[in-house]
Amino acid sequence: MCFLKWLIKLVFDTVHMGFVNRSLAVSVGILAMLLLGLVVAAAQISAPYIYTLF
Amino acid sequence: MNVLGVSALYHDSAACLVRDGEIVAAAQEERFTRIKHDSTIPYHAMRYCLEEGQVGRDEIDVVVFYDKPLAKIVRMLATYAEVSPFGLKAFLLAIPAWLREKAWIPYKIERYLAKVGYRSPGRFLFAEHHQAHAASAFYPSPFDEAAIITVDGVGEWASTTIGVGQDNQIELLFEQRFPHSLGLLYSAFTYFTGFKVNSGEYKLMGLAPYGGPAYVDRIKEHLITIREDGSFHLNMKYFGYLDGLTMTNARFADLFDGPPRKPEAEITRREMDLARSVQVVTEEVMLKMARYAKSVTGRSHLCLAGGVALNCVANGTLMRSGLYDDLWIQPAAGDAGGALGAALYVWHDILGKPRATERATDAMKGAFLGPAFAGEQIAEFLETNESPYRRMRPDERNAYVARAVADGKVVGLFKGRMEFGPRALCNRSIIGDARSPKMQSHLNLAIKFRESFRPFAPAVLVEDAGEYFEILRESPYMLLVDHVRESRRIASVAAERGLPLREWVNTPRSDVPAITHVDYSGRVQTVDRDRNPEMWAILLEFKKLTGYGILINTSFNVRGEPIVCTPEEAYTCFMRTGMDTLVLEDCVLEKEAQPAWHESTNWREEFVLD
Repeated sequence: MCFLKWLIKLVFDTVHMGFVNRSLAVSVGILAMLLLGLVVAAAQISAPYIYTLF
Repeated sequence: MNVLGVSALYHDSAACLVRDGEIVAAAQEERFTRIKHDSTIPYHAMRYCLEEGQVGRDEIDVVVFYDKPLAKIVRMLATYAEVSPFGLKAFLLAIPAWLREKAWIPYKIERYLAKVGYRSPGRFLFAEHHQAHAASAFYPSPFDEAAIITVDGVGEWASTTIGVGQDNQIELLFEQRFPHSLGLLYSAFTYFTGFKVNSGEYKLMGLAPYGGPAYVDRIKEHLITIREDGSFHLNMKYFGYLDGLTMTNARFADLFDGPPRKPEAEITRREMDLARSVQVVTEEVMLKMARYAKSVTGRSHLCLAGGVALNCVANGTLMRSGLYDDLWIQPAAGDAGGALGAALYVWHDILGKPRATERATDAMKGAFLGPAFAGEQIAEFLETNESPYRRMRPDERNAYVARAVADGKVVGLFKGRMEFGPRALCNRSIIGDARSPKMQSHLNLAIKFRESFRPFAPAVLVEDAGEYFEILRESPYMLLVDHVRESRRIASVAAERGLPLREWVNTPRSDVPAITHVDYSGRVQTVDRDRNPEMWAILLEFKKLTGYGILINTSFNVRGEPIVCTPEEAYTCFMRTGMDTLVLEDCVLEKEAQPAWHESTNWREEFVLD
């Protein structure tokens, strides 16, 4: 729950920063990296299960 | 209202608790984890601050972090975009680190607080890096109004700011932006001369007096353009920190006659001259900046913070310039102080609370903001350890310590609350006789196990400072360098320049040779009765015995080790080194009475050399 709260806040702040600074591309870039980071983290956590499945 | 300030994830992470505007506790994480300059989120320091302040589980009102991670990532992205396709390696190192750590600071802190039994703080805020530095410089100062200068490597974008503080408001008026940074320029030379960046800058400063300003013209011609207002422009062609993993590049090496010195290699004339030259340039920039700050703010007092404000030689130059009636420098001027500044920023700037009106002195409580240990607790440890000791009354102990030092002994002094900031101010210190010509080399080589060129600082009775130093009135935090009085000097510096470094170091230059650097300077700590009554009494006793109210004061640690925090660490350091006597509060231990010390491993490998 705590993680979700701060994830939402981070996404909100990143988008908000893009609007305020009129640089949405930067916000999109940061969010893309964040998404990639989360995917990598999820892959690292789930790796043992994936290995089991395949 | 409790405000918990946190600084982390660059270097020297720390936490600070401010309650209703009063600084209750502050400590650096390195003291608990025993990792020098530890930059991890300061869980131990946070916990200590909350426990010291007896904060209840739902009584944390605000947690504030000392910089803005989103603004930092924008700066990093903009930098990599500018230098791409170069700098990919640095990009691939920095971005995952941000994604793993910096993006999740509030989550990690809240999760930790929950783990140790605290409810979610009412608010979680982020201060700007230099706003935090400025707040740490002005709000605890004794001034109602002052010009403020913050100088460090880099925050979000700013590397230097000039501002003005008035009562409970700070306004930052000008900023110098990354990559043009005085702190990074100094760090580039730190790296090039073979010392560690963000750690060895003070060694470079200590090395400077051995050299001459041979490279000043080259630095000013090729590396930096200094304007009259103190702003400057670095020629990035010579630096590697934008597109590489090192501070300087091959062009820099070509400019300064060869590759960087390898760490621990012999120090040559080139390194000494480089150290002196960058010091001269730094002082020139600082002076111009201070002059400009005075002209735009019209204030007669100056407050300083940021890593460069730990350059006490430059601070001394500012003091001697007479530009300002008085200076006040945050004792934890580096990033650790950002935790304190961020908390004070919330209290005064965000919440609009007034500063205390009665300000006879500053609000730092002598920088004694860390953990303390009761005599009973220490005695119990010594009993368990079967370490022979004597318990003494404070007056008896003070006289005993003074006598021991007068007899040429080196004493480890552990008492009261641990200092906040990089300097040991006699609560976690090793002290010795400043009159001894051999003490500097003995302390460096047999006790601190550090480079022989490093100077030692004096702790002097505030009432007697004028007898030993030229201008100084008060320097309670060891942040000002002044010159030993002409009447006390005994040799000519010019005549010594041809000597090998070790011989040069050991040549007496005054009647207090152990604290007189080769240019007759000393990084002075004045000791007064209000801030440190025990040390003041020890100095007074020493003066009764010898006529000198001055001692060597160096931090209680060995090279690469953070300053000791607990009695156990103090005892271990005492047994590992050539110290003769150890004072743990009211317990006094003599080395010769202690049982033999054995360790199964080589303890020197425990600490990474700084």
